[in-house]
Amino acid sequence: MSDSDDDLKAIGCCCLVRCGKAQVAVLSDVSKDFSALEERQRDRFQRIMELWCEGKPLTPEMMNRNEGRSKGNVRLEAFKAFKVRLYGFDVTFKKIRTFFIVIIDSAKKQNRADKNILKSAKARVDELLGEISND
Amino acid sequence: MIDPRANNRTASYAEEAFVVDVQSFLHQLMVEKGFSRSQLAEAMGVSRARITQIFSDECKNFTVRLLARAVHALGEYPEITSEWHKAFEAKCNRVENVGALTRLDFARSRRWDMGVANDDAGGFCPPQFCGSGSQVAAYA
Repeated sequence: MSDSDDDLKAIGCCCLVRCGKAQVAVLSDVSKDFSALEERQRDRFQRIMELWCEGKPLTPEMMNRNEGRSKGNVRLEAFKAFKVRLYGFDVTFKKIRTFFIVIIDSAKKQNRADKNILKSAKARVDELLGEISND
Repeated sequence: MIDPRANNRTASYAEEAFVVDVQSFLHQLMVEKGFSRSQLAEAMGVSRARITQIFSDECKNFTVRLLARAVHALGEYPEITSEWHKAFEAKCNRVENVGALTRLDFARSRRWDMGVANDDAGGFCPPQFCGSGSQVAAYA
């Protein structure tokens, strides 16, 4: 296990993708939701995350850059594929550009975001950011 | 025959990754060349809905012909390659440089048949896509 993995584990997260000097991490309790997605959904997300790490441009269908702000004024973003959204935020963690996924909405049946899930996501963003600041 | 299972990535990943790469590539070209999706539709002679379909997750009915038309409409010329092909081209160039064999001779010596090297035990490499003259090499 690398130092980066240990750093993520210390704040209750694990790494999904790491390319160059960027990574996508997920809260450990949310990672099972990611594993539960269909293979093609995971594969599409995997590549989208790799491109994000490489700084490549993503289409609006792949990522929503603004899903609102948390009470701590952190901008919520979401990776999107097949009506599934991975909500999270972008921050530099231990000198690595990191996207932290805090919640997965895998039951999205419409194009508009679920307000309750968005609210939970924003609360989790502030909670995780607190962990990161304390670390 | 190359065994696709030799690759550590699944066939599903290869398919989804290539779709994502092509969509990201077209998106970047459009941004760089200042094309909106409506303008691209007009330049390609297709409906706006067809462009939406190209960028959708399912990406249905996106043919090679349509891809070529999209890249051409954006002022580029599409090329397709793979890790194996790039290595092969590099070998050919080295052979040409020493003047020992022509590119064709070298290809024959490797029993190169219809674009597939059947004497290699190497694993499957997913294709790469790029436009000539572009800085983009999706799937670096």
